[in-house]
Amino acid sequence: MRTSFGRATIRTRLTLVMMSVVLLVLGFTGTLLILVDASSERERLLREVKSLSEVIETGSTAALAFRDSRALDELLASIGTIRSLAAACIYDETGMIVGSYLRTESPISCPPEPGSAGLESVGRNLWFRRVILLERRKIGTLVMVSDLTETYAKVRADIGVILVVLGLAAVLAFVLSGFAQRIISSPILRLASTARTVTHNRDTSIRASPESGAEMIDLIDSFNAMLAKIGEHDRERERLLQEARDAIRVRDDFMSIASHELRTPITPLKSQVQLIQRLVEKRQLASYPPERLESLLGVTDRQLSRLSSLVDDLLDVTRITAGRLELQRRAVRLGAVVRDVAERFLPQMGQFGSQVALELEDVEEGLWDRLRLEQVVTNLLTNALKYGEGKPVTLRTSTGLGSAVLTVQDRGLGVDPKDQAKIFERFERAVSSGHFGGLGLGLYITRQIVQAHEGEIGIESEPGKGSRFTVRLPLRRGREEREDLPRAIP
Amino acid sequence: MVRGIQRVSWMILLVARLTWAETQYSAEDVKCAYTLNFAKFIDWPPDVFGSPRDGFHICVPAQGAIADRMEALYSGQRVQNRAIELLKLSERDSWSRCQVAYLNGLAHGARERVLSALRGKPVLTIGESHEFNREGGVIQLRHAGVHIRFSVNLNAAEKARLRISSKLLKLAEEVR
Repeated sequence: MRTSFGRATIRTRLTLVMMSVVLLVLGFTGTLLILVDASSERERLLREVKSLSEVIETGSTAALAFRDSRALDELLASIGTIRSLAAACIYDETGMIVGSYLRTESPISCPPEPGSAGLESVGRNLWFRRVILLERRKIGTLVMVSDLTETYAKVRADIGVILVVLGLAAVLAFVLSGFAQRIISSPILRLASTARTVTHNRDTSIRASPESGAEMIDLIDSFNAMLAKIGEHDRERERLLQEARDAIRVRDDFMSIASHELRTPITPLKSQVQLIQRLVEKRQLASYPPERLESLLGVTDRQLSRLSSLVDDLLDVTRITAGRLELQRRAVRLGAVVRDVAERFLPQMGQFGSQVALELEDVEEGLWDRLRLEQVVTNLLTNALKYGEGKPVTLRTSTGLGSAVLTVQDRGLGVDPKDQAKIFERFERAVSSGHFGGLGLGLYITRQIVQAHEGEIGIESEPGKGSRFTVRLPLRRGREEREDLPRAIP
Repeated sequence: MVRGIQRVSWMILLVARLTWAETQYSAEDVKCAYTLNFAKFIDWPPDVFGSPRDGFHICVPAQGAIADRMEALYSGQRVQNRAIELLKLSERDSWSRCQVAYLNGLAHGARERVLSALRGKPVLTIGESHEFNREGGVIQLRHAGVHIRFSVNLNAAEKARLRISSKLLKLAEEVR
């Protein structure tokens, strides 16, 4: 809960704090001074009364012994000049008053009984009683009354002086707190104004100007650092937003490409299925020329293969995105994989018109997923044929720096340097989908597979002169884990 | 108010003093008390007392009425830190062993003889006759109304080697 002090301005708080400190200190000091003063004054009076009483005792013994009241009165009158003495009375041993001195303006009178010896404070008077002895026998009592009125008046005067000093100090503290406030709160007010400007203009490039004072320097530095951080976060948010927008756009583009690609084989498939359906309805299937039927079914099979391959790619991307790309590692020779894939492509070579040359060095076997490696070689070879413009394509295997190296080189279109990094991303390709079919997922999947094998893939390319893709797969890991093989495969 | 209180207190004082002087004590008692008090304000030469256990001798004529009062009043009293021994003497006795000689009650001739015998001896002589100081007595008592006053023959005291306190001298009516 906030107190009213907590809601007060710095000025009010400073003033209150300074004034209370000044008043407390001065008040305490003043009170102490008065107490010490009053106490020492009382002590002084007491000493005075005691020494007077000794004088009176000495002087009064004979007069008391001889019952000489006149002598006692004279004795007391002689010490009556002491200002603080209000009254002095002498009693004989039976308690009768035998001598007295009463200051004319004092209301004090001798009490009928002397009372017991000692010191007693009564109102504004100090009563001092002393037994008068003669040869160790009590022959009377002396009672002296000191008037403290003057002491009290002095204390009152002291209090007055201290009150005046307190008043002056309060005024001084008030004025000084004004100066202190200017020193302390104006930098804060300037900082607050900067903060308002930042909020109002939504401009985090504004900085608070430096102020003096260690705390203010710290505060201003923190404030500026905070502004810098906010600006940084704004830019980062903007970038992430842009990335997200781009990703959505890429995905939308991909969706349209994917639906188009998926639809492409469906149309001829449908027409072929309808043709066969018609032949069956008209019972002409048996009379249909077998070579034409074979060609029809061959086309159907290719379309289905293409559909299946598209769907496989999509499934792979989904697996990769979900982090579920699992490798079935076996001892594999890279050369053998390349040779198998190239042989499988032989029937399609004519379609692209490219010659495929194999330059296979004998590479040590590694622990790799054979099917995934085949996918890598297939994708790279497909791309080389697709973008090779019918020019020769070379597949090469070698060993370098503890890795098995596969290079796939074409002499076709090539990739623009600005697109070279992009082509390995999801749904990206360097050329528009109009010219070449496919989802643009091949290189993405390829790179993910290579990276899953702790390998790397790169491209060197010059537009118009062709591209060379290089895949490096480390051999070391395979050797190290060979003993653990049965356990490594779930 | 203040004056009223003062007046009342003065009246109290007055009454008290009258009482003090008159009613409580007889003249004989006062004289006994005075005699004792004189001894308290006078110093004797140290060779007067033989041993610390010696008594303080107050001598009085045996036939006087005051002798009995003194006997009654002084019994068990001490002065000069010594027990009082009251000696009732006659004119023919030796008075020189006394520290205080109360000579009232002796006939004129007898008193003169005792005084002359004591001249120069450390004995405090007290008497009431008008000529007592002049005869060489140290302290002479006088009735003054209700009060009893005294005068001192300082010369005689000095001859007797008695040192009288200034406090006592201050109270004396006359010092010669």
